[in-house]
Parts: sequence; structure tokens; C-alpha cells
Amino acid sequence: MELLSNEEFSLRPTLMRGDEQMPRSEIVLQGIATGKLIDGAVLEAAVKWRGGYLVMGTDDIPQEDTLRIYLFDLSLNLIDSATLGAMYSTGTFRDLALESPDLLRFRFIGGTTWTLKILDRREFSVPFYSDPKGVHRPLSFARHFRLYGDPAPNLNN
Amino acid sequence: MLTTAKIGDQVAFENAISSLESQIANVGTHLTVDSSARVAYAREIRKMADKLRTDATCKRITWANAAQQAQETRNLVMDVIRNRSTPVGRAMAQRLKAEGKSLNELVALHTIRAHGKNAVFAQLSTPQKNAIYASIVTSAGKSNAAVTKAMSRLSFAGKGILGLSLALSAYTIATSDNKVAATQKEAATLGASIAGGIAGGAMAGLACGPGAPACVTVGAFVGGALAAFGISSFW
Repeated sequence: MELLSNEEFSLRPTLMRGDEQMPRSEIVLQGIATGKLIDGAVLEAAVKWRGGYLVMGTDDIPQEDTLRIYLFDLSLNLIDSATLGAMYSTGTFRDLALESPDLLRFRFIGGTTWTLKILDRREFSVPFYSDPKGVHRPLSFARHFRLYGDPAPNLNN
Repeated sequence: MLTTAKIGDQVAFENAISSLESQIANVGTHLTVDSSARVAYAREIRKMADKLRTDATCKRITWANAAQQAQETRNLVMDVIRNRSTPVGRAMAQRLKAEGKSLNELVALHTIRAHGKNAVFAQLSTPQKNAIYASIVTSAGKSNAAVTKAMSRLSFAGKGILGLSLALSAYTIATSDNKVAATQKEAATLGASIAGGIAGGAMAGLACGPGAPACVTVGAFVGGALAAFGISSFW
């Protein structure tokens, strides 16, 4: 795994029409716009993984931010994706650590350190059950990365 | 001729159906209250940001003060959740511990975004600093539009479900022999279901701890069903 610089991988936010829309951004590789759009406004980290890119971005909504995680192959075809966050709560992406060829850790929400492991191949997963709370994925029975964490509830609300 | 046992069975069946019907009102009320709270939250934080921006523009407060106050949006969020949500809504809001950014972190972030990664806030001119504070105030007024849209749709669903519940009650009253008694029974059962749902959700929240929306939802459903069944049996 290799952390990519802003010159190598960045996001260019698209124009939004008012507050009613969620932010979207175009992926820019080596300074060249790719035309590939993803949800999110701020690139938190882009990691080159042997089979592609792991992209982590947020929406720039300080009181209710969501971490958006995308796994792309080298041609920017989406392999897997997930979001991390909850209504009325927020997170701050920090303490990213690349720990092995397929594993990284970070903090975002829930007072826990999250671990992300990229799998060599897709594995079976049960929607709404196979991930810790706060993790949401498009409805699917397969996943290409796992997320581990033990998030705490928000006692202040 | 109906035997006493059969009449008893029929009464029990009608009470069960009546409590189930009133559960529709319980679900509709929960959906309507929590989706309205969400819409209120989105409106209130936007209003707060607009007011801070106006106050700073009119020099009633400094831009630094406006940014500082915008950081206190969290209090507004908590206020909305505590005063306008059902126990189910509160449990959803408590699901994950928040890890927000401090004002200093936001200042650094917005400075880098506006002036590049080597920019230092302290070295900016006063108008540049004020622009950074202004962007923080603007950001504080944003809510997750996707969640608000989804909750708005639930609001329509909730109102529809409440309407269905009222229609069922109206039908029951219209087809009954004693309309006054039927009206009283329907009103009492619906009221008990909604109050029981709120109380059941609150009790489940105490039992399961904070941030357990599934448990609280079950509690709200069971509480509403028990209260409605109890009232309709008593009648």
C-alpha cells in the first residue's frame, strides 16, 4: 500500500445546485480529469493498492460528516464501496496508518480505531449484519473489503 | 346461537384487531414526529448560520465570534433531538459517538483549502482571515441533504399511515350500533397506543442503553400494542 500525494490523486468538486444536493467530485489522476464522479467533497486519503485505488472522502458537513470509502481497480472501475457515519453525529478523519499490504487503520467516528482490510477476492457477506454499526453498503451479498471497529454510542445527545 | 365461549373469543379477536389497527397510528406518529424533527434540525442550523453571517456582515459581532458561535451548533442539534424526537429518534441520534473538529482544526483546514497546503492562518491578512471564518460559518449551516430528503419521504409515509389509521377508525365508528361509545373507544385506543409506544420506547431505551434503535423500536411497538390491547379489553 502506498499513500498517494495530491499531485497523483485528487478530487475536483463538481458544481452543486444549492444545499438540497449532496456534494460530488470528479477524480483527477496525475492532474488529468478522468470524468469519474464519486460522492464527497474532500479527499481524506487515496491509497494505491496492488490491484487499484482505495479512496476515502468526506462531504464537508462539519456537524454530520460521512466517510465515503471506494475501492477501484486500476481502470477506476468500482469494486466495492461503503460509507461510515450516522444521522446527527459526525466524524473527523485522522491517524491513518498503513500497516500491511492489505490493511490500514484510521479514526473517524464512534471513539474507536477502525481497521480496513482489503481482500484478495470478493467474499460472501450478509447485508445489514456483516459490518459494525455505522457502516452502510449498497445492498449486496459480496464485499471486497472488511471494516472492523467497536464504536461507542453518543452519550451527549 | 352463540355460546359464551364463542362470544368471549370474538371479543378477544376484535380487541386484538383493534389494537393492531391502533398500532398503525403508533407507527405513523413515530415516523411523522421524527421526520419533522429532522426537517426542523436542517432548518434551524441553516437559520443559525444565516443569522451569524448577517450579524458579522453588519458588524454586530466579529467574524471570529461568528465562527466560534457556529461551533456551538452541536447544542442546537441536541436541543432538537431532546425536545422534538421520539425515543426511537433519540436512539438513532445516539448510535455513534461524534468526533467533531475543534475550531482550530477547522481554521487550519479552511486555510489550506483556500490558500494551499503551506498557508498559515496567522500570516493571512485580516480580510483573508475573515473569509476563512465566514466559510466556517457557512459550513456550519449545512446538514446531510440525503438524510433530510429520506426523512421527508418518511414524513409523507407517516402522514399517510396516520390518515389510514384515522380512516379505519372512522369506518369502525360509522359501522357500529353505538357511535358515541365507538368514538370513545377508538379515541382511547389510539391515544393509548401512541402514548404506550412512546413509553415503551423510553423504557426499552433505559433497558438497552443508549444508541440501540432496534431495541427501542421493538419497545415502542410492544408498548403501543400492550397499551392499546389493555384499553380495548377494558372497554
